[in-house]
Amino acid sequence: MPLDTISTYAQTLLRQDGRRWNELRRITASISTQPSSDGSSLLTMGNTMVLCTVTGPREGNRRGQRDNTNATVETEINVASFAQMDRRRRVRNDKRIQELQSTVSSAFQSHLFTHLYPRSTISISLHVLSLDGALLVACLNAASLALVDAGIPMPSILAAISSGSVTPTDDSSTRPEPILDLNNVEEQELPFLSIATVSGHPGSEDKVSVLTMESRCQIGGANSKLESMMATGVDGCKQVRRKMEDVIRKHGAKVLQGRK
Amino acid sequence: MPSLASSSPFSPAELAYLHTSLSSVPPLRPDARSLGTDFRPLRAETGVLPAVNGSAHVGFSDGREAIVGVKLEVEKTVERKNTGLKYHVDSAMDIDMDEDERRKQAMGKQEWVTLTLTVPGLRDDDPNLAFLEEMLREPLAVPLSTAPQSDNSYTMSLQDSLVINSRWHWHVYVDVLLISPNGLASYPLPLLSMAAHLALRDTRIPKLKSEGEEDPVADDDWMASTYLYPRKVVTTSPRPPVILLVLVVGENVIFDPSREELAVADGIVAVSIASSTDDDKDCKVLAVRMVDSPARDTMKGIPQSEEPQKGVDVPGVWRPRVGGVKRSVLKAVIKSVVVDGVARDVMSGLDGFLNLEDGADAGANAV
Repeated sequence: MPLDTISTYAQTLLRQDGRRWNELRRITASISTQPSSDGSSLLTMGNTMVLCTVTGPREGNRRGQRDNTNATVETEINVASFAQMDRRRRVRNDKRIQELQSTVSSAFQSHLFTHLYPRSTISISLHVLSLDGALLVACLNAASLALVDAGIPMPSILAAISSGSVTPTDDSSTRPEPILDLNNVEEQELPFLSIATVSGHPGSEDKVSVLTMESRCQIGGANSKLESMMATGVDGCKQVRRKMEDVIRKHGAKVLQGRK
Repeated sequence: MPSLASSSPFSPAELAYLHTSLSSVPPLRPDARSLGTDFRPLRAETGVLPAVNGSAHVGFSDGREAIVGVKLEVEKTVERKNTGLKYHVDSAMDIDMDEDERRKQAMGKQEWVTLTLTVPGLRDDDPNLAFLEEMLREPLAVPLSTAPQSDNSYTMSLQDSLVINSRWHWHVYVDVLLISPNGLASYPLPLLSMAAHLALRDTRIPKLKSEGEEDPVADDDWMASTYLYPRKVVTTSPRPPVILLVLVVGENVIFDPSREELAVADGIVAVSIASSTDDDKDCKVLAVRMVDSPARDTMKGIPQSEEPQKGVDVPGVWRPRVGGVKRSVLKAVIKSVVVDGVARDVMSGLDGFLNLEDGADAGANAV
């Protein structure tokens, strides 16, 4: 049996790990995991595991770059060398990691109510303990939960998911099929994008806040892949947000129980 | 080892108070621990990560945490130049190799054990980081004597157990991630070494389908794998070393120091211990290192009444520590580690934890 999604998906409509096109991997999360930090979370999506700690808002240590009207969001991503199957030591100024850091920073810089904390810094520190695809997605979700735990006001929870597209190779006229929440193997063979949304006012639609795509795919024409991928992604974000809200509610109930 | 704290957050008055109470007999510790040998509680779990051979997560009560992942990789053994002569008779060696040669062949090299430490917010080439890494790695890869024991079993050091055959070996990568609110300033040596200890004891070597001098092929069945260190322990079975941080204040020897206690230390000693190979002793000391005390870099206190004369010690007024530690005090440190059984208590505590984990696993399987 061939071990790639492209050749088997059309026959079975099941992916390599047995999921259907719109099924998420198991998402578990917990918040307030690190008592010594202001906010923390541990998020797992399938075999991807990210630990996030948030420090702040606090006085920034670099006085020159202080913003007099808003808080500044800083992000540090650290992919542990044991995170993947083959051990790989990552250097700190890896270009890809730097780009991910600035993506996470800018996503939360515009999402949080930073005007409430002028002249201060919010530092997000992300530790990727295990990596099986969806690096940016897991980082965004973990940071979102940790920021909630840190008590930093935000209009809604930022939720992220990745979506990809399968095109059967033998027949180019067939419609490409979108799939949700890719693992590492699927990320390597299929075009995919990472999308994050924030929910709008009640009744209105969700807004996309992060959208990155690092692979090539056809955008225009009759068989445009992009639109279906984005539609699937936005739906996936809704599911993820529901799960994250559950986690926060459960934690809140537990805290209240402890107060009695 | 250089001092890890950049500046002490305590005033001279606080330091004087702490120093006076710690040097009284018995020591009055700021967190109300009654004895110098009392340890603070810690949380630990093993097998926390997927995609590694062994992992552990240890958290101290002051919020410091360490996550360790151990990975094994198969590597080709590079023949040394000076064994060139032996190389020619390699094919014949399998058959008529005497016990002595077999022993020599089973010797591992120190380079097969790699330990890296990651601390967020610190540069990769920070000298303190490199020093800590080497300090943690060194006792792991210490070559033990290979003299035969009375019951004809050989004690193997870590790198010796990594030999697969004459051409292949395992390479152990121990990657330590420290999550700490104040970086290296909290002297995380015992935390890191305990986390590495538990992760190594959780490490499994995949069973090999290949035999003898064949190229290694691993069995897919993870349940068939064996532990790197034997899980059912007797007193003399090999265990990874543990580093204890010992504090000296006056005549008192204090274990597991907190941040306040470290700030007034007359001397800090890092003692690495390993389980002994002798039956009559429990533990042995592998290395003793002095660590620079942060009390050297503090400001001195000024007495209220009169201008102090040079070199005169006014009681209750803080004076930064200078000089080293007396030989007799160092002796007292080693005595309390080895003879008074702190080392044994730590080792048996770690054994007990792993037994509990095993029991929990067995219970889960039974249900």
